[in-house]
Amino acid sequence: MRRLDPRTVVARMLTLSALRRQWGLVVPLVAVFGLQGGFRVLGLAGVLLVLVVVSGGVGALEWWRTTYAVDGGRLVVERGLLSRSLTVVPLDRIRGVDVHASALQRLLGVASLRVDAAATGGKQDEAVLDAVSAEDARELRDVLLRQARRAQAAAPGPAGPAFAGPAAGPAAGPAVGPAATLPSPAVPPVPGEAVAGEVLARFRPRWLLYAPLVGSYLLAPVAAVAAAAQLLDDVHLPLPARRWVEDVVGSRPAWPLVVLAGLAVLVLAAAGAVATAAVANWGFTLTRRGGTLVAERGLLSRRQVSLEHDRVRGYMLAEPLTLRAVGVARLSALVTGLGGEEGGGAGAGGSRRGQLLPLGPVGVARAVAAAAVLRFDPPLRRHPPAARRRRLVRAVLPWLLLAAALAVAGLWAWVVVAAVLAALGVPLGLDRYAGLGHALDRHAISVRSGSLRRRQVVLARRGVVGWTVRQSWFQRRAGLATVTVATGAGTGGYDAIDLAAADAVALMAEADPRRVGPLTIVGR
Amino acid sequence: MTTPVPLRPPAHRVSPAAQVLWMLQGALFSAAVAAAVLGLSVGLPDDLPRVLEVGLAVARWLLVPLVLVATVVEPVWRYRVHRWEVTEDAVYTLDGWLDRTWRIVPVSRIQTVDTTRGPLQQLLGLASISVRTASHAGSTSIEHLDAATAQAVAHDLGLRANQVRDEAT
Repeated sequence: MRRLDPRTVVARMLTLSALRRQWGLVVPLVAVFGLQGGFRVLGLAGVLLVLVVVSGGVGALEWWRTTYAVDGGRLVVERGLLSRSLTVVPLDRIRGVDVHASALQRLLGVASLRVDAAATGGKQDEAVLDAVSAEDARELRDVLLRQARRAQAAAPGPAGPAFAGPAAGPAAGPAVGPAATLPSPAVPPVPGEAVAGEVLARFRPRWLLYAPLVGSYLLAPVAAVAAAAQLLDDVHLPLPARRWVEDVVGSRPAWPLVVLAGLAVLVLAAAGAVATAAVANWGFTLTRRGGTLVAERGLLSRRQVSLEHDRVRGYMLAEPLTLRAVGVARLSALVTGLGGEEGGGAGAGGSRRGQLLPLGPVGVARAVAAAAVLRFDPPLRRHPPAARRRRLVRAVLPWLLLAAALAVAGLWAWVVVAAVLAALGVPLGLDRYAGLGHALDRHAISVRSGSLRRRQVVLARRGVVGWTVRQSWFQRRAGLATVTVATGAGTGGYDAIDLAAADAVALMAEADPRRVGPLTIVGR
Repeated sequence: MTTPVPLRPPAHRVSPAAQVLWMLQGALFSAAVAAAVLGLSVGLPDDLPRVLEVGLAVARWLLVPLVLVATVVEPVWRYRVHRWEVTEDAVYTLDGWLDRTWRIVPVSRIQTVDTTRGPLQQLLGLASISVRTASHAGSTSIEHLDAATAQAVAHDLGLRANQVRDEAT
């Protein structure tokens, strides 16, 4: 049985989080107090002080009533002021342990621990320790992950992951609290476990300059500004200020001024993007500790995400057009049980959980992928010329049809817009074709597609859970087909678009000769 | 000139009664579309913009072919395309009519096997099997088998998946 770090009480007091958590208790108290006329006597500062003190009191109670233990192959967290809640996570179900410290927590030297676990039925479950001392957090994480791995290796039946080697040690050992386990000699090291981590990637501050080329970084501050503007709109400005705004907005624009304002907005947006990227990614490092990849990041609050190597099925290299122009890419791991890269995953920053390199030169990204996930060298095979025709038609034809419809309607200005978009479709279609490719080696399969959002996926062959071939009527006329490689990680399926129909089958048969081989028609 | 995908078709057809079901579905669909088009033609005022007028006229002309395709052509065509097979290691399905989709799901990756019978299916003695893996893209279904076959196949698949399950999802 262990308690959380006492400094937690300070953090909870200052953020009033204890109050927010226990509002069911506090609201009636405050209401009674207010009805007695207490607020008038104390004044605003007094009320704040009372809130902080009450918050501290509640926080202390919470601290006193929260205990945890690693015991009998389980992590047990017990909490609750009046009604007690008990969270039990069997160690062999732990999928990852994340350590997170907000700016305040860092000042105090504590950190929160979140334990992700697979509940039965594939549903995600988690236990949170908020917070323990930073040292304990690190050690507890290592202990949990190590024991989790050992428990999984020792578990009977098919649940055992591909961990070879002498897993013969005391299985889910005797009941040990982390205090007993921390001095490591008691625990024989798991095979392949390095004592210290091996750093695979380190984010360089100058890569932040690429941030304005990434949509999400560019949009985050813009969204914030828009929200602020909305807020300002709701606030009633004092009359002189409002008159000034109306003057500026209502006056006839002077062109130099407009251009200057435009430039200023661009510069501000770029700076905002760099700042956003810095807050999220400052000091990003990717480390391998035994069978775990640990990504650490953050300027103000630090976050540490652990990914079990056994759950990594491959990686995705994203090279949107803007980044490709400067030879930069983003790298993320495809991890089972993490949800799609768009899917959010668990909690805040879920979409970033699988990231292996947030932003960096494409050469570095490839090197990190090879070191952290798997090495994949074969050059991508290009797709047949018919695929180029199809990419062009699909990029141009819709706009041409729209232009024709608009012409029938007599909306000539819009016809011009549609025609311009159709013309832009030519380079777009050509670049999409240039992006198409696929390759296979003994361990992995890779597909690439896209122009504005080009992405290359490299997937371990053992991570493939199914194959789909699609052939539309037009594809049949062109002798093409699209293969979808299904996997339990990422978005679930990745397309090799417009292969020659024979190559589509050949690719699957080569990658999975046992299942697909007997289904192919040979000698055609 | 067409180039088919060089995969041999799966061994078995679905139940012939599937055609009846698809015809019923097609009839429902075309009734809804016809009601919308004819309703708009009668109900809207006369001084419409030209684009809408032309559009409605085209829609009226397309109505008869649409009904024909939805209630006769597509069901018969689908029946000629849809096929399924459970090989030694995989569930292998082919479906579609204008577009075709071949799916190969290794038995060792199967997580669940469900049988479902909708109201129309019950009327016609049909059932569908859906085979799920860790990935939506890697899942498949065999639609409209006769109920007894579906039950036997689902039972057999469930057993085999349990024997050879590979947890590396």
